[in-house]
This record gives sequence, structure tokens and C-alpha cells, in this order.
Amino acid sequence: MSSSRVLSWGAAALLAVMLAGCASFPETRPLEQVDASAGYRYANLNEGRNGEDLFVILTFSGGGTRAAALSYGVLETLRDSWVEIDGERRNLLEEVDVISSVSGGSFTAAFYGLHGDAIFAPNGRFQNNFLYRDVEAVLKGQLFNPYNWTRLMSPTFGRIDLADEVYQGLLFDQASFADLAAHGRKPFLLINATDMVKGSTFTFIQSQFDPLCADLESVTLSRAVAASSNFPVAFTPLTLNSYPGQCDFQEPRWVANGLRDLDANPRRYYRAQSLRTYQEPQRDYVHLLDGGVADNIGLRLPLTALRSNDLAWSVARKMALEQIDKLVVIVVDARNQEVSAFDRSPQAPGLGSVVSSIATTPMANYSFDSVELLRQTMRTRADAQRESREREPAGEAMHQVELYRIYVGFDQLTDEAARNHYLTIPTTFDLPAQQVDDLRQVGGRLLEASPCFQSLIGGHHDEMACIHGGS
Amino acid sequence: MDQYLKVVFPTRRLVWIDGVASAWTNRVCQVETGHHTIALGARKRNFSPEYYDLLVTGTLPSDPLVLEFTRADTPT
Repeated sequence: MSSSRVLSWGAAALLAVMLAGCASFPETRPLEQVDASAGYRYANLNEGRNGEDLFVILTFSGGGTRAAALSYGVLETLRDSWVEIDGERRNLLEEVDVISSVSGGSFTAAFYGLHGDAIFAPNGRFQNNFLYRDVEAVLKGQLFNPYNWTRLMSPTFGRIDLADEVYQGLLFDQASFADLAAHGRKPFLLINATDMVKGSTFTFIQSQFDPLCADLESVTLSRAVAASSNFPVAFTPLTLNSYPGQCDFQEPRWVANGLRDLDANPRRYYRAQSLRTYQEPQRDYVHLLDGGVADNIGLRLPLTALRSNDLAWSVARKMALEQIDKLVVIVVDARNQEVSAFDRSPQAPGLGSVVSSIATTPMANYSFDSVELLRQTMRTRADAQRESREREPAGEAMHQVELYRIYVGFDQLTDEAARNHYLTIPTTFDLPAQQVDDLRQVGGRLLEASPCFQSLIGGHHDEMACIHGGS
Repeated sequence: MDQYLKVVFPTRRLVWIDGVASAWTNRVCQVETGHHTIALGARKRNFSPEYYDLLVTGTLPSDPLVLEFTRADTPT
């Protein structure tokens, strides 16, 4: 090899290393001062026509495009559904107050939160660039681009940062939580990821970022969605900066009380401990995985809000303050159940199958428990309201709230062939157009088939269907 | 882990739980099991005691924990 060619290769290698050194994840801006009246918080949103007397929470599960399309179908049906309250006709989609989402469901939630009804545009950006697009091919195209190989050599730039750029290009551009805060309209988005070190849910709202002294408004929506759908191993963990102790963060008063509750209420104790550890000075970064690792259905935070006064947007508090008269929780669960032939063979399943089972089985079991916990929570509340009403003098009983629990999942399909069809749709970002159409349609059909949903739009609360029986 | 609380006071006032306005007086409300600091707010401090700091547990909707505040002539 001639000396000039060696020099050329050497220069190219040097350039590659320099480029790799330049590549890094986008830094989260430090927060100079915590200000409860600023930032992306529930309390800072304008109610507009969407008051709290009818309080609607949606949860969108993980499950790739399957989950995104199912939740999209539910949004379409809510758009076409109306309720009458005190003689006033209200659109159900406009009444949605909170959407809590995970992974695939976060794409639908974030795009709707940012663009509203534009999500429904036929052949619009969401449909063309995501629902009906082979997003996996776009991701692979970036991964196999030699320019990105050099960037990926950087220790602070991973495959998840490439995915973030892809989602920016396809859906979100540079839109950030500053844009959501500036719009100031509901629904309040809870885009959930998992803190890899703590194993707990990490939500992209300013109150989560306060103890980090980090400014959520500097974070793009694409980055939040990438974190929420950051399937382990396929992507690298997503990193955020943390600047604890630099913004005069005042711990909420419940934390000190919660830290006394290890015996009485360990759930509250660990919630308090989690918030306090984010303030530890040595935590300069937070590493995030897919929200599904901690909660693949997006229901845990709403469950806490139903039972505890500790969250800034506590539903329990809004009920006690008589702000909520009807509470609706719609769980959209795209859980699948891929068919396996293992039990027909004496041969032990291979390593890949075992790893897949380890990764997905606990998530599915935990999701099932979360849905059951919602049923139990609402039943307990309904029973308590009744007992209180029977015992207390008029006007001194608990505020009487109509409770609606609606579950949208494939196992609700009565037709066995249809049920098996949907339960075996794989988790991927590339589904055939016909399957996406089917998922949109079945999301709406399952919602409308719910007796509890029918009682909501019919204006006659059916407690048996909504709380005690099935939907 | 749900508990039930009724804060009694001669008039309708906001009940502050752990530093946040969370309920109304003379009406049963639901709180989470655990330690709580319960007061009637910081603006008109004409009540006594200044606050309760206690573990709320073992209550029922039909038998809530009843905490009484009385009107104090001088601000506490």
C-alpha cells in the first residue's frame, strides 16, 4: 500500500473518530428556579370548554403499531360520540382530560396532544408517516447508513437517539413540551417511560423533572415518545441530564410524611423515597427504557391519582373538592397472545424464545393485575360512597361520583375467530394496511359494545355494568 | 389502603392535607393510608389546633376519623 493511500485511510479514520466524538444526545436544559405556575403541568392548562365535572382519563398500552392503531380507533369513536349533561350536548373526545400512554400508544397520544383533530386527516401525516408506514424500514435505513455508524461509535449517542431523529422527521419536527405548555389545552399527556436504575415509571411532566432541576420544555416530543417506546436491547437506553440541587426545589410536604409510612403504606413510602433520591447530588443523568418495562398499560399513575392526594393532579382530591361528578376511565389494552407450538414438542424451546418469554410474561401479568386493581379501586369507591350516604346526614356524606370503568381489549371479542385474529397480531412498527384498518375499526367496535360506555352516552349510569360486572 | 376522614368546623372551609387544599369541612372525604398533616389553610388562621399530624388508618366509610377544629378568637 502506498504511503499516500495509508495517509488517506488514516485521515478518513481520524475524521470518523472526530465525528463520533461530536455525536451526542440532545442535552436537557437546566431549570434555574422551580415555578409551579410555569411548565407543562395539569394545573397550568386552560379548561376552555372542557371542565372537570365530567373527568375522562384514557390509557393507551404498548404494542407497537397494533397499540397505536387500536388507540387511534378509540379516539375516532370518541370523536363521533356525544353525551348530554345538564341539557348540554358535549363531544366525548373534547371532554378527555388526561391520556396516559406507553410505547406504541404514546405515538397516538403525543400526536393527538400536539395536533388535535389533525390526527384524523385522511392521508395526513399521522396516517401516512406512521400508522400505514413501515417505520421499521426507516429505522433500519438510518441504522445501516454508514454516516451513522461513526456517530454510533460515540459513547453518548445510541440507537435510541437515531430513533428520536426518525420520529422527529416522520411526525413531530422540533415540537417540544414548550409547545404543549404554550397551547395550554387538554388532554394532559402522561408519556411514560421506565427509569432503568429505579425500575419505576418516569413520566414526561414538569413535576417529574422538578427534583432533577431539569426543564421539560427543552425536551422534544419525539424524545419522550422514543423513551416511552424504547424496547430494551433493540435500542440503547435514552439519557436525560439531571442537575439536582441547583433550582431551589422545595420537596412537597407529603414526601416527609410518606417516608414515615413504610409499615402503614409501603407503596406511598417508596413513592416518597423515589422522589427524594432524584435529588441526590451524584445523579447527573437518568437512563430510560420502554415505559412497558414498569407498566405496559399506562394505568399505574392514574391509579395512584384515584387513591392518593399526593399527585399534583390527584383525582381523589378533585372528587373530595366536589369538582368531579362523573369519572370515566377507558383502558385501551392492545395485549396480544402469540400462539406457540412448543407444547406439541418434547424439545426444549430455544434461548431466543426463553428470553422473549422472560421479557414479556411479567409485563402481561402486571398489566392484568393493573386492570383488576382499577376494578377493585372503583368498586371500593362506589361501596364507600353508598355506605357514607347511608350513614351520614344529608350533605355530609362523601361526594357522590358516577364511576365508569371501560376496558377495550381483544379478549372482549365474543367471536373466537376474530379474537384469535387480533390476539395474534405481532408487536412491530410495520403492519399491513388491512390490519391497521381492522384495528382502527375493532377499537371503535369494542368501545361501543361496552355496556358501561352505552350507559355513559345514554345518560343512565349503570353501576352494575361499570363497576361490578363486566363491560 | 383507602381511609375516610371528616374534619369538623363551624363553617364550610377548605381542608388542607399535607399542605394542599384537598377537601371541605363537615364532609367525609377519602384519603390514602398513612401519615398526614391536616389543617384549615394558612390565610384565615382563626382555628385551633393549628394542625393535626397523625397516622390515618383503620377507618371505614361508615366510621370515618373525625377531627374537630374549633374557632379561635385570636389567630393561631
